[in-house]
Amino acid sequence: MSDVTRVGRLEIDQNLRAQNNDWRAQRVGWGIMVSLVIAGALGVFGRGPLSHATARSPRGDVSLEYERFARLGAPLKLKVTLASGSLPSPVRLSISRQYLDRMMIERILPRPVRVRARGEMLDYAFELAGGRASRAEVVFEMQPSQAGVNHGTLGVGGQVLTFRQLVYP
Amino acid sequence: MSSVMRAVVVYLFLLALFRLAGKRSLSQVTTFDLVLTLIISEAVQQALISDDNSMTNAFLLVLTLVGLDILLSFIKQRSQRLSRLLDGTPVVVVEDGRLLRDRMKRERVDEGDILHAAREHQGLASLDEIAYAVVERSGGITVVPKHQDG
Repeated sequence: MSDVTRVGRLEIDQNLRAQNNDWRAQRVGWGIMVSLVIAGALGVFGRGPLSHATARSPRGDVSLEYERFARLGAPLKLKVTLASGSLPSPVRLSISRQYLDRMMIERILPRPVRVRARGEMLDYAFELAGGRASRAEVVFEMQPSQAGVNHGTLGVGGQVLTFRQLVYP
Repeated sequence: MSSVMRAVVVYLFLLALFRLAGKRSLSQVTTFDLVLTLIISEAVQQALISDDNSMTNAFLLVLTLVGLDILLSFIKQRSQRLSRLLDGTPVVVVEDGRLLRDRMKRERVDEGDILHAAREHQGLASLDEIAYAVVERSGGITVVPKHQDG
């Protein structure tokens, strides 16, 4: 310690200028902490009102509920709701491969009767009760396996929805 | 993220956080400080280990953390400025028996804390017997009595 000074009888490496900087930095730091906590509670880091989003097709009969912000390795859901006058059975949903490559799919509800690769998309076919229905819900439960920005495309009966997710490490 | 990167990020995050929180945060004054320390370690554990419970991973993490600590201690030895930046500096809060209220307030220390330290380490009974009190880098308070030879 070369910067030891004397304060009265006391030999000490007190440095009030550095200490004042510390105190100032602490004030700023507390501000940042508070704003991060508030942002976290609101969902900026996933799981909160600011994170939950819904994309709708122009005709309004396909909607997709997703999270804008997700976390690596944490459970994540995509909920697709189809509500047209009459849906054919099996109904077909396609999701871009580019998106699914960055996900680990844990479960799909209901279970698809068939999955087919079609170029850049994966086609999922779901059977509906009674052969037809006016409303159907499909939930994909998964986990992001890579951090970064995920661009997703969902296609249903010629309609295409795109969405974006930020995955935190 | 690799284990080494994880350990580095967690180390730097905690270092920055605790420096910004101030010396007195978690300085083991109350029982709850200990509880809080345990909870924090529990919360950070998952981020460090992630989904890899192997011994290799544990060793790699510990090596990285201890290595960083050694590296920083070298850096601190070479540079006074970095030492002050990383560890902070001690602050005199009682000088020649005078309480320096402004500094006490900024360090979040009150008479009770100073008396506590005086009783604990010096067996002193009142503020009159204290010549100097210092809030150390560790967040603990040290006390120098007025009549050392008396």
